[in-house]
Amino acid sequence: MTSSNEQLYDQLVERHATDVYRYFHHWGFSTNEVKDLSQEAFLQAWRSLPSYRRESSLKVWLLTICKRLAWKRTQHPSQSKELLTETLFENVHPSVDGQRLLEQKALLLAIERHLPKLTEHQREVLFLFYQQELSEREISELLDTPPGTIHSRLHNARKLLRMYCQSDINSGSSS
Amino acid sequence: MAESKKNKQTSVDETDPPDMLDLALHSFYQKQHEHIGPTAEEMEALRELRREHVQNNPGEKQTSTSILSRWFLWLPTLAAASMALLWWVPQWTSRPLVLRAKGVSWQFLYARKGNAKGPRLLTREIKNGTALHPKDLIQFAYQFSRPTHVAIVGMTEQGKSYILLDNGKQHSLLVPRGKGALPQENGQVRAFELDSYLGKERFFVVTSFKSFSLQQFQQKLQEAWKKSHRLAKLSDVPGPWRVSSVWINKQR
Repeated sequence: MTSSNEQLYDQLVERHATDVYRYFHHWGFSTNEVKDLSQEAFLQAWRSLPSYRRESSLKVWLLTICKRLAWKRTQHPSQSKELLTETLFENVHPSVDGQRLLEQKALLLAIERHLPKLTEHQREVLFLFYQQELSEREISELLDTPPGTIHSRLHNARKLLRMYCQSDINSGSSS
Repeated sequence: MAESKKNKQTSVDETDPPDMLDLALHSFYQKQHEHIGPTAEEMEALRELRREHVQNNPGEKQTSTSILSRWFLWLPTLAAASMALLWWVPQWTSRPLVLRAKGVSWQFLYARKGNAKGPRLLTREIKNGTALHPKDLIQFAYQFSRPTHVAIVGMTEQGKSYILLDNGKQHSLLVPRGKGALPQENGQVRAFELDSYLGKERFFVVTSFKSFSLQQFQQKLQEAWKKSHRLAKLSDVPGPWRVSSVWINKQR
């Protein structure tokens, strides 16, 4: 291992440890499991750094390791995967005001309510796009899926959510 | 009024939702995960992983291809190995038979109490370096083709050894052939609960077809420890037994 790999590893930890924690958390692992899996992921990343060919971004490369680990861990039949639905939502975008703020709050609640109705693939793409802030191309690399498929998953996920949320808001306003 | 509200809603939905939904989804995911992340202590542990790994696996500094490409290194090694083999074969044939258990396989398992989902605990395999925590449960699953003498000994990274399983008289325990798991109590499979000691620990599962003394094993173990002082390297303890072992990293 060269010193450049050591620097790369340190950079990986500093920049992406939080991303890795959040990624495993999204899979529904407990706090202890997230901690274990993150350590495993970084150890594996350190071992594989010499084979990192810079074809994809470091973050996508690291998340690919995480994806494999998470997938392997969930293969156990007694390990159920749960979508995390924690109560929110004081956080709204600072640029919205008054009426829009209320609408966005309603939207947030509607998203929380309807997200479980989406397919696993759609939820995964939404998480990677909005939480991990990966581009469609990066998501396609990470999931080893054609970019067109990622685009349509994202599009369909948004479309479905919009439809569910709209019907919620309409029924709320008519009642 | 209701109609105008509905009209307003429709017009908002037609024009604004893409932006609103994008903003809302962004807020949703950011808020949902904002409290998730490593603590300062965990960050330090992640930084330390690299140093620890290098320390414990100094041989991994070179990749196998770089070693192979240096023919001037492996060619003399090969020659030396052939000579050693020529010398070793006649020595070995004249050696007395060493009783090493064959037809013996082990699997090291752990379970975490907090992970219990349903009536059964989730069990996973322990591999070298697996991070475990105090109160985790560990178990040693076996398959023997004939009755086998077994003992389990643990060792801390300070080189302190202790007996986990014997026959109660500092000797190996005779286990009948077949499949099962240790420890057992009155024929029922139990588990060891990890104590509050933090750090690395190695578990040695020692098997033989003849009864052996734990005192003798621990003595050999100490001799092996004195040579390396490294728990990660201490995978075998020479003697009339077969040793399977695994090391864990116990953390808070």
